[in-house]
Amino acid sequence: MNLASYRKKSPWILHYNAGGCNGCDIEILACLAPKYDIERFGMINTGNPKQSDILLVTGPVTKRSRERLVEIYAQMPEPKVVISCGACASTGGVFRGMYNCEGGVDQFIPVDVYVCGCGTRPEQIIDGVVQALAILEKKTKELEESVKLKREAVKEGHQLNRRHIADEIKPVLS
Amino acid sequence: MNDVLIPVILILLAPLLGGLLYGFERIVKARMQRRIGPPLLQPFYDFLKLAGKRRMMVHSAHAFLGIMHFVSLWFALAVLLLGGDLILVIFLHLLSTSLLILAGYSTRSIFSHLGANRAAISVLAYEPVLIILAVSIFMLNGTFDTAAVFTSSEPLLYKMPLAFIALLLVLPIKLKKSPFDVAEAHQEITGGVELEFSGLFYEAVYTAKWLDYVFCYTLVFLFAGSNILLGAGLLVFTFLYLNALDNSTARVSYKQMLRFSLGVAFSLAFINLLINSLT
Amino acid sequence: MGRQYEIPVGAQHISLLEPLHFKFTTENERIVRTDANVYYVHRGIEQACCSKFKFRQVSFVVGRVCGLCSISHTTAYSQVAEKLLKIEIPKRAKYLRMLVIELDRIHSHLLCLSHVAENSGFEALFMKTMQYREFSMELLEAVCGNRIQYDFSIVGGVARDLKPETGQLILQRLKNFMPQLEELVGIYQHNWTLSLKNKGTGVLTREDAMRLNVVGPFARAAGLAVDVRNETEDLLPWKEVGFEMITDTAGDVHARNMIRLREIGVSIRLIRNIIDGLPESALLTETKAFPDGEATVRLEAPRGELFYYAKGNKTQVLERLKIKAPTFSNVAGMVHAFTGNEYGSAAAIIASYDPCLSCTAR
Ligand code: SF4
Repeated sequence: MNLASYRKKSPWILHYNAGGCNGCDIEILACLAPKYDIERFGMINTGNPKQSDILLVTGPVTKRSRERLVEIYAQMPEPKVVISCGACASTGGVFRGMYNCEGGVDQFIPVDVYVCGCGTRPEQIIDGVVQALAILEKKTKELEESVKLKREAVKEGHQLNRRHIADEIKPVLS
Repeated sequence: MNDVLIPVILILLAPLLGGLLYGFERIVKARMQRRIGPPLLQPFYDFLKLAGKRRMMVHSAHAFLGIMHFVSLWFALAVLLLGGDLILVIFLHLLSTSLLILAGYSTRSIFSHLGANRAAISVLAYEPVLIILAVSIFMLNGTFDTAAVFTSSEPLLYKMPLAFIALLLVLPIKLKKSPFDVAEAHQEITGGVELEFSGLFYEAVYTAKWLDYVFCYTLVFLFAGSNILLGAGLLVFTFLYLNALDNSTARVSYKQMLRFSLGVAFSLAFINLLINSLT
Repeated sequence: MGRQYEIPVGAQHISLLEPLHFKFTTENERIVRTDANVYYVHRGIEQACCSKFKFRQVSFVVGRVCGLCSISHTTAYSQVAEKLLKIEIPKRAKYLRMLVIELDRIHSHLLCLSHVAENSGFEALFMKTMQYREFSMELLEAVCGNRIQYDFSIVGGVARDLKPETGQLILQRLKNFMPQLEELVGIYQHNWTLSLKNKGTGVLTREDAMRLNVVGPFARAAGLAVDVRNETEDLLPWKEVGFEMITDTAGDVHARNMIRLREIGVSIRLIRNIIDGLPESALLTETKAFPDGEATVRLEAPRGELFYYAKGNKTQVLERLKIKAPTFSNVAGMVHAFTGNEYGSAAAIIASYDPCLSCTAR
């Protein structure tokens, strides 16, 4: 039994509206409701960046909300996944080119999953989150591997200069 | 031999039990809200996930206080299960809560402060009732030792039903359940003291919640004495009562909570004490 | 005098749907002063409507001003454009517009109610209301083809017809919903802990409501009988389908909840009448004209009076478009009604205003 594989069963969600029309936001809310009930997958809407894994962003990023967006993203601990919900979060949608819009979340933070539709349906959002889980798992693995590499080098090398470490690093995966 | 072995096993398994209880409660809650709800082992999935997150802390004392909260709570539970002094148990529990409150005050976040403030007020609300409870048990048994309670053949429930009701009234405060979940209040202060914890350190606070469950249900179990069947009945009743209450009430403000718990629960416990000491 | 704390709520906060920033100055958790900052979501729609889009496209763009009352925006815009084109739309189109507006009102009010319940810490009621709300979403999907952005009204009429089966489906679902609505009324009216939280909080008196010029359920809860549906007859025949004004006097959160619940009842009656009396006619008035002159339109959105002004200059692109959303009128009242309340109730009060910031900021 591999305990680590159960990790992806508990994605905690943070939701931020970066200037959309609320349409996608209420659909995210509808996901929590009995009909769609995303708590089935162990998701909780935490509202606290420090404890969440998935950031759901809706809306084209307006000039005033972009700083908050980046701030919130920075506060989340790795591994983290960003989902852009809706046409206007993914590309700017109908708001693209308006003078106060930046057009798309991916201009500021890396987006992993794009959910299309204006507005997105709850089924699409759930599907997006489920796809995000796979990415989350991959990111977790990557994070762990990088840690292992460092440890390996320190263990084997007696002399810790940079050249030495660089020589010693071997892929740890068998 | 047996009376040491069982508590020790219970103590070691306490987080596990608490986690299962918490998971089960989440399912029951979801069902009461006509949802399917998370799987039973969900708390453990959360546990595993939180362990793998990057460790971020506000400052070392904050993280340390969080972990100490967990440790001291476990310690309080151990003393309770091993049949130690009830007063000691209550004060250890108070200590663990105070550590968390200190942690809340040690950060700069205003929500954390508010949460700590409210947690302190909750302590003020339920602690007097617990102390009166301990004193009544002392009046009855002549000792503060919980071991005497666990082994007494006559259940406490029959002797002090009012105190049991008082305990039921303050349990939602302790377990942070609606209507008295002011200390957590997600919509108002986004979790209060837990706000600034993340990753592994949040895990300590999160797991401490499970321990709190075990702690509270053991307190309920005290009332059954050595009568295991009655004890099980009481546990089930308390569980259903807490969930039904949680799902049919809104959050009251902390002032109303304080008024209620000190006005109703405290006086109930006190009347009980008076009756016990007179007869 | 105690120490004063400043508590910021927003821009991202779990009890808020949208970026909105309130700064509460509190004393012993009692709010003494509030600052609101609502323009996080300004996108510049008005300017884009007058430069990037042709006037027939604008009705789809203004729908994206707000996802909750998108039908009100599209309808109001279509009406103002029709005034500029000087055309009269067919009767059936008017009825269908009213139908969708009322369905939208039901879903919006239920959303707001569930949000109040959630922010009062009553999670089970939130879930229940959201569950009951799904029926209106399904009906909207059946009528318009999408769950939130309907794009139902277009310049000159409506985009889709109502099939008789769909009409029957609506009536059937409304019948199923009636007992659920009564159940909700019972809970919101009588639940003791909820009334502790909601009664007497966030009070706005009738005088203040008048002075601060609030609109919508917010004003009606305070005793002001303002409703555009009661005033204008020329564009949409509300009285014909049995509109009835609902007011309350208390002006607190509880009164707003009750107003919303009772308005849902009125909406249901309106929908029934609309479907029963749906006239047969074309759906669209075609015209080759270009918008010319100036016009204004008022329409009752779920949150209150929505106001559109447009100016055309005989070209494809409008010269000026101005939107005044209901929440914009309410901001002053909102800030005022916080004073003197517990900070703990603030989240519930915010939800009970049902603020729509993307409307306000556009
Ligand atoms: S994608 Fe469409 S529905 Fe969603 S927030 Fe953007 S404009 Fe609104």
